Amino acid sequence: MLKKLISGVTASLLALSLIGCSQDDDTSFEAEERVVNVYSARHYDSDKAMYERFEAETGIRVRTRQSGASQLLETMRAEGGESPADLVIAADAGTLWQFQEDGLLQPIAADRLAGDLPALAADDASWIGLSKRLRVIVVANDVPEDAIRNYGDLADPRWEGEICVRSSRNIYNLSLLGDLIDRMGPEAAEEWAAAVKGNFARDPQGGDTDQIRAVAAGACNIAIVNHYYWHRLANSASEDDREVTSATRIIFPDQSTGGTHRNVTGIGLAASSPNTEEALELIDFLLSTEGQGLLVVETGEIPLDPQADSMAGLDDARNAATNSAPLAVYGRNQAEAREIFDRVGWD
Amino acid sequence: MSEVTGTAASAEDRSSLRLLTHHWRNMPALAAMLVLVLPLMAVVLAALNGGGDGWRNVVETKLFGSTLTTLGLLALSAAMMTLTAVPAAWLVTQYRFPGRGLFEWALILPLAAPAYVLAFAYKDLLNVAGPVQSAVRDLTGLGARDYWFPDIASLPGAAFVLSAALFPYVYLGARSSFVNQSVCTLDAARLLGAGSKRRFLDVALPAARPAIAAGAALALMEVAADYGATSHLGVESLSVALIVNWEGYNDPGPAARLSLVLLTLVFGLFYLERLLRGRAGVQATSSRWQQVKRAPLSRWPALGAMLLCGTLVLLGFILPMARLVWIAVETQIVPDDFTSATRNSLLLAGMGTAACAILAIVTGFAMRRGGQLGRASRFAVSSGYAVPGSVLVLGAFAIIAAAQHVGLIDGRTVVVSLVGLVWVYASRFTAVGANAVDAALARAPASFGHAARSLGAGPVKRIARVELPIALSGLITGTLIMFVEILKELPATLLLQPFDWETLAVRAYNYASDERLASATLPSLLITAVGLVPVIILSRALSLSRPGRH
Amino acid sequence: MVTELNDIRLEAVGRRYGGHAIVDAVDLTLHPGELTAILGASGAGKSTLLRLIAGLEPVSSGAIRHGGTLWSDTRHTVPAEHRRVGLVFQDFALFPHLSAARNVAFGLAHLDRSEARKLSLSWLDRLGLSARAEAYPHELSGGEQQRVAIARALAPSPVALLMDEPFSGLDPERRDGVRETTLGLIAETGVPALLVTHQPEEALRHADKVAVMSGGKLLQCAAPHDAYLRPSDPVVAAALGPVSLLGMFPVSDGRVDTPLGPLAVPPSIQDGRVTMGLREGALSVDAGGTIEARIVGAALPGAVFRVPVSVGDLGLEAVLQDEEAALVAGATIALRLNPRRLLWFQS
Repeated sequence: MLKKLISGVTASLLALSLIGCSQDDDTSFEAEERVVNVYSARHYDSDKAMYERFEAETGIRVRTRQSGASQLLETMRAEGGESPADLVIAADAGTLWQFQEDGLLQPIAADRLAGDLPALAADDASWIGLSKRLRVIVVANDVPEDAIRNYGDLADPRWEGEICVRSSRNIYNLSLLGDLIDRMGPEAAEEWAAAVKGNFARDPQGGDTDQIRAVAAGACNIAIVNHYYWHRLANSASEDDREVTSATRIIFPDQSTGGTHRNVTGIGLAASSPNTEEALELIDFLLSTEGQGLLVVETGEIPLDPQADSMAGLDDARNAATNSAPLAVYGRNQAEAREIFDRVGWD
Repeated sequence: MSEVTGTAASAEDRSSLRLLTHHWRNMPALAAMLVLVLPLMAVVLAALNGGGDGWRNVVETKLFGSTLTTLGLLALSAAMMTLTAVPAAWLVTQYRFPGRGLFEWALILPLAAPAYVLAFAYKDLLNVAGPVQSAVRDLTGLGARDYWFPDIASLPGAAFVLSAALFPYVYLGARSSFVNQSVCTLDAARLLGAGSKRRFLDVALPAARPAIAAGAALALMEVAADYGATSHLGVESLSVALIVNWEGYNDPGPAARLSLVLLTLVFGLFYLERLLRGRAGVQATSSRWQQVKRAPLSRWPALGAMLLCGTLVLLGFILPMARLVWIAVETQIVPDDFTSATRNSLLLAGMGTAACAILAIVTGFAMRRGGQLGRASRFAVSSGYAVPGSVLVLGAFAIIAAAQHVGLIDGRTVVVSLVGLVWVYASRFTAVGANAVDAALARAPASFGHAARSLGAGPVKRIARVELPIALSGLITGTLIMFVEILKELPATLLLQPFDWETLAVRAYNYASDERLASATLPSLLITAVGLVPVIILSRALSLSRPGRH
Repeated sequence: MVTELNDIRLEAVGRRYGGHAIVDAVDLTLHPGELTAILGASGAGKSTLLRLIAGLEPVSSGAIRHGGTLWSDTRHTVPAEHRRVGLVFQDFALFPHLSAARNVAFGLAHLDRSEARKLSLSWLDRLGLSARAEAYPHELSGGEQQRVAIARALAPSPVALLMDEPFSGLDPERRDGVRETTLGLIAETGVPALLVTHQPEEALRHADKVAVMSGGKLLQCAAPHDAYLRPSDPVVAAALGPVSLLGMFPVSDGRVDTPLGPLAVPPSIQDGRVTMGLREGALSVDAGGTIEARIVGAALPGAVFRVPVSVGDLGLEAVLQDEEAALVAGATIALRLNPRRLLWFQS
């Protein structure tokens, strides 16, 4: 019996290896096919539908490499000039800024695009925004109206033991603090961070959704999260999820201290892109109304095109008063933000 | 890791390094060792190169804390795993109780699911908004801040999750020793007045210690290298710190240096075990095997045994999987098209396992031969296993870059990525197969080889007809484990996956780290389902194994 | 610890396994100060009998008693760990992770540490192993390991000592020496001892009683002299030494016609049929003998010179008194029969 097992396993392994080798023969037949290679730090099932729609309309095959942003960064660095990447998609301008700083991107020529270049973009147009995301404050329903109006209010010692927020290592928090450094200056920003840290209900753990759930469960009364996490719960098929949102509400920090922090999901053109034509066509598609709709309808982000479809219940978000600093600021201040977080002990 | 017990080294084994490289028969082993060690060497070079600001900051803020954290994880997991899995193995091999036959193989089920999948499930189950704490609040009427509940997102929590995922390694080590122990020594102990407790503690356990230590060593290396589960639970071990700092400061130098610290810890563990063993022998003085006659347990001990084994299987497999299934059903997740991801996962695992198997046989033989070659092989094999996958991939990148630089390859084509990834798998996982081969050859008394020699069999024939079949039988279990481990592997696959070759593991991780646990459930369950197949084959082999043949 | 030594009695002890009787209605008594040897072919049930006495297996029928204490019967079995029976295994079964001294001290857990060590060392000394007290089993030679095993079994002052072919694992040069030492030591202690062996010389030389088992049954238990000269069964005869069996012949009126001439049978043999057994030395070359035989081959030198002969059709062996006698193959000689070396078995 053992002998049979050995032969069986060995045979399967050999077979698998052979199939594996023949696999890439398959992929070398690209000569006739048009492709575009996307390095995506975004992972949504709806993206697949989006790319398929693009393929159906243009005949260009979209090949994706999905990974974390920093892994993609390392990969592109290691690949250097031979990188097959055409486009990089990432959530958060701060991430894209890192790609830009490393010289991994090239400017997107506005004249080669079908439509206009969005205003929300890198200063040299090496990456552009595709959709908006706001970092908001979620509170339990029994927090009084108007008790919290903006980010500064979170530093108030009356909220001691009330705040749930994720780790400072996450790019969303880094970009937020980068924004605040720009608004208030580094010393004030550090004071703010220290005060908020003093108001923590618990050590940072989990993601944004976990913070919202913690508020609903009563472990804390305030959370700092990206808006679409709340909206996804509100639109979830699971009743438990919807109950979480009915126990909480969103506060959009107002203009008195500079507005709600806005960020983007953006796309950048790789410096050594081998399929630039096809890449630009994909960018066009993603900026079109149809593409925008497919991009955001399931994710809850805010489309840049006002006519595009979006998730239900996003009106308040779409109308929120947001800050106006150039997105590059988030990236530029990232290193300092990290150091401030480390110094105040916000892990 | 098994140890050579006092076999006299022949003159050729004691030869100096120069003779080593000249002796053609050693070539395969040397080539294998080079393959295994090259990525690590590349990392060391990177560590010596890099540093600078990034490193200074890391030393000030992270180094001490993360090292302590890793040590704490190792200590806690070691305790949790040995205190539960070893008694379970003893009960299952020596006694009869209801469900014993089921538990014998069910106790290795946790091997099918990766630690990070368990972390996803437990974090969801035990966090403040999860079903357990909600039930506590419903039942007691207390508010979320009014009671104390152990926090799963903590060092003990991470140790618990890792122990639940990895205890089968310790179980298998203990079990193989208990099954193979000469029944006569246990009978002798009985007649000298030793009750069942003393027989276990003073006779079976000490003799089993090397096998248990080998199992624990494998498990603890996984604990040290783990990234997915540990980071998901918010614990910053050395392994997490090095990746975070890679991300954070965008410079491989600090990461490479942190990995060296990690390696020192792990090798320290390894040599500590060897030291503790001292002079005591392991091989039983007899080679006559008697079938273990299992004694029946009376009511309360039987209940205790069932409780222990049942809890292990529940915590290690049933509970987390049930939770994931429940989430998938409750959120009405629509199954996406997984065929390509599944195919990619199987192909990569198949190729990786084939490479590992070949290297395992070559190095396993070298390890058994002892002497300088044996020691060098052991080092090469263990070093790959100790290094986290993400750090090995760093080495692979460096090698690829160098190859590109000298014009050997055109760039990171699919083939190059595949070769690189399979190379990383080989570096990382050959240890499992090599140790299995080593152990199998060790159990065969040296006299078999000598007998073959005296019957006129030349070295090749001896290897082919006598030693290779023995090695292969040991390799079977090693191969199955390697296949499952490669399937579950995350960090290296994440970084080095060839274009359009997304695997199930990468999918699951991307979703979960994006807080889309519901979407992560299906790929996670699929990985586990695929991983179940080799685990079930392994478990049937376990049930059929007879002492002296296993 | 003073041990009161008592008889160990097996009364119609049987052991069935899977419908097959491995031990069948055995009656046996072990007396203090006595060494009983059990002989028999493999599978005769000897080792199982040991395990029953040791308490490693329960009896299927009958009872085992130690003095007035019931050890085993069909309803109840005193566990092995409570019987204080010493057992020496064929493969020594030393604990590989303990030194020789520690091995011997294993059964002395009821003493305090230093007492146990002292006793252990004194036993090793009695067996000539003081110099090897700290060595581990794998560092000891076969003979040394066996002596450690015996010391280990004797140190706790057992009430009985069982030995399962303890000397067969030793190489022949060492065997006699080790056997002398250990059996002498055992006799000193006065412990009732049972020795399972497949070597008749061992049994006949050292044992006070010799027992032969076959097919699970105990055929005969008697002093060596008696068993050898008056075996109850051909199997017993064959177990104790070489024997030529001839049979069967009809008996009438106390006389039987055999190929060796008409012979008288002992009074215990009734009319009917009888099998005749010739021990070594039953026939000797003697000019005054009454049996006519023909020399078939050359004389075989040894402690006693033997020459193959034929009587009629029978191939037999005769003892040669005169070592230098010239024998010619084919020549006729006369043989004398020694009736004390004749065995008679009623069929």
